[in-house]
Amino acid sequence: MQQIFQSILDMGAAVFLPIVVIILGLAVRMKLTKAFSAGLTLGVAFVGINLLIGYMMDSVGGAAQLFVLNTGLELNALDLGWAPALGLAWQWEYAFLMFPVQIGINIVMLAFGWTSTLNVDMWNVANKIATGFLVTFVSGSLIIGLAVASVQVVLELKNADLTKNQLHKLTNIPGVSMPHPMFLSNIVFYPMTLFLDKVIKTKNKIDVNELKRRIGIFGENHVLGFIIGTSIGFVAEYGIAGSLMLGIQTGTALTLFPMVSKLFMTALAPISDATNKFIKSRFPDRDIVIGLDWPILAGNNEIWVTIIASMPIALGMAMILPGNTVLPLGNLMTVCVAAASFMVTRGDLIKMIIINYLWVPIILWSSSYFAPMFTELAAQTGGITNLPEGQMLAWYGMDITELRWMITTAVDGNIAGIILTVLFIPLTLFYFKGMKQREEDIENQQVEAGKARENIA
Amino acid sequence: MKTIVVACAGGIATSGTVASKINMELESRGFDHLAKADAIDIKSLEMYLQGADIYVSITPFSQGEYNIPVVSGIPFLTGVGIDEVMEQIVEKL
Repeated sequence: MQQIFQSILDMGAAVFLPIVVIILGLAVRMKLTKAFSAGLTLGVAFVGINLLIGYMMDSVGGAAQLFVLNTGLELNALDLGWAPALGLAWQWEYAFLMFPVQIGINIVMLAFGWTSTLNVDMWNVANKIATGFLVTFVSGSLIIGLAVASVQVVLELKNADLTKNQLHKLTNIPGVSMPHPMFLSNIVFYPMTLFLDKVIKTKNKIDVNELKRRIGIFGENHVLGFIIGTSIGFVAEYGIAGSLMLGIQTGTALTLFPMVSKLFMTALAPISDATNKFIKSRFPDRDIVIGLDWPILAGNNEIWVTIIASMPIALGMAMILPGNTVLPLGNLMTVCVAAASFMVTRGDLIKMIIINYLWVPIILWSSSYFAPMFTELAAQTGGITNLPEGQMLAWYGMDITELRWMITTAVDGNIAGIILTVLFIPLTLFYFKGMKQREEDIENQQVEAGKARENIA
Repeated sequence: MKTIVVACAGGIATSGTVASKINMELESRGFDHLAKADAIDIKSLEMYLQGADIYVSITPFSQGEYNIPVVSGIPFLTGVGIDEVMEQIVEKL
């Protein structure tokens, strides 16, 4: 039995996971043809993403090596961005275990009334897989990896519960919450915000929509890829034609990454749909809040302006920060700090930018620390073995990068990591208390607004 | 064949989920020969709107903000009100 199982695992994620998806699909009563198609689509997504990573490492990776040679800067790890990084995480050999972990914990917590959130965001199962992989990699123990990922699932759900009124006020969408891990960074950003609130009393009025219109083009994948790729080409002494070609190639990789990655959702959507219906039918008399991914906030241009304003700082800091090995590229547009700080500062642009700038070195150091692990994952699962000697791939601006750094160094026995992890517990309680207060304040406001309406009537 | 675009921050996860569900709904209602939904990156929204017939938004919007009809994509995520929003989409095909 174990031999059969192992030989199926050994076929590789692109063969193995489609089989899992087909079986899962049949289990939730999908038609055979549909389940088969969904499974194959997942395999196509895996092979497609690996193809693109290989292409990017061939074209930009080669130039990045010359960039290092010509500048003397030790930037040996090329940032791929979140789509390919999570695409690799999906291919970790134990990735499929994270579905039962997330769904199981969620059902138990709903059943005991410990949460009111049903997390339907299946893409970010990969974010638990990433945690599980990194912790397992460092500790050598799958059990510890799964345990830390489980703690993440619990914290995500609690945080979603404790920010849902704030989210409702911001988006006007009733009955939703956000269990995305990035908002756990607010455990750290919350005290920073309280301090900034003391220092900066007035909220300044900046027309972010106009600002976004003017600078938004730099955020488009093909434009950003072209600019950075061409610049790397010049430093690598590719000449004008060669540099422009490298710019186009970089733009190609960054544009195609999402196009391939969305195939993951084409494969997973029918299954998540069936699972959600099944869970909801089990809790018919309960007020369940639907946990969604963060982009329901993406209409708030404070987030985009903060992201774009952080890009030059990230590039500049990458050049001069001692100990950094990462060349930010695919994830230069770092969402996780910007969107999290948007929530915790309540959309105060200046405070958001301060927090984002302060976090740039933390992101650079932690992504340098994790780069060898992602490189190993790419070699093991994605078959990315054609890298030049010393070249690594990285994920700059990984979600909750500081918390993952903290916990992986702690399980590795690093004293600083252990101390930070211990301090993290009271900090989490302090943050949850603060969020609870905010939630109650909003509820009270709504009650008073209701009373005022009654009085008028 | 009309094009329905769904935008989210990366053009992958949220928009991919919504686009898949719209396509499933179109198929089960027998309208899949009339339109197809596609996920796009909101950062390039203006570029994609030029070739689109309906825009499905997952962020708050106001009608008339774009040159084409807009409907909310939130029901496809929460599962509440899918029939109503599908009626709005089918009406515009």
